[in-house]
Amino acid sequence: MLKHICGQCNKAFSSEKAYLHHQCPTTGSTPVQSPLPQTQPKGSKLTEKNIVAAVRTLRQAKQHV
Amino acid sequence: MAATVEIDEQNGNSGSPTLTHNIGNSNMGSTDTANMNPTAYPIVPGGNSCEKWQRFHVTDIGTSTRINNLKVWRSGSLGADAIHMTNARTSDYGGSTYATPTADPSTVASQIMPTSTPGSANLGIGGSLSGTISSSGYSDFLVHQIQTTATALAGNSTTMNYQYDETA
Repeated sequence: MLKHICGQCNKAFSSEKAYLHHQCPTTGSTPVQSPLPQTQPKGSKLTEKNIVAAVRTLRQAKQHV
Repeated sequence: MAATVEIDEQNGNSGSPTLTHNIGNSNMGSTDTANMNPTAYPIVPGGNSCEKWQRFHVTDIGTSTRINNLKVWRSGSLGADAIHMTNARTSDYGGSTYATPTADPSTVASQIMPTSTPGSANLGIGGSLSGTISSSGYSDFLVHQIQTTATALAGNSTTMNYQYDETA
């Protein structure tokens, strides 16, 4: 099995893919120009209704202080 | 965006080698390791350096379409008591399969390393001097070795050149 080492930071990797996507602390960059796509966190979309409700809640909270 | 190309070096037993990516130097010495400190591993006069097995590695082609026309050469003189041997050649070329690097006289590096820019490709891709890399990938192995005489002196420093063409 081929072991991969970054010749700049000396970190070892078990696969070429892991090497290609590591952020090298010595060079400050990844060997590939496009990093792995970030997965989007799940969550609901903010609608105008949500925003209005949040502002209303905040105003009520302020009135009670 | 331009392609990202590095020089890698492979070391160790052919059954379980180590590939060092993006090497910091091509220092030649008496042991099989990348990024070597040559003063720690001097070549005994009359002996040879351990072979270097290196490759061009395109880690990201970017928006370019191909990398080809690979040329390697050394700038600077080694003096009269050392010769620099390589498998790189501009004709009768064939790729080399990785073998455990040796400090015996290389049977793979049988050509004199050029000391000026070769007129055409002298290192291949996929076993051919006209080969191309059109996505990520590797060149053939460049194998080279310094061979010295008994009167060789320490401390010589020269420059290895690795050149490629990149087509947008």
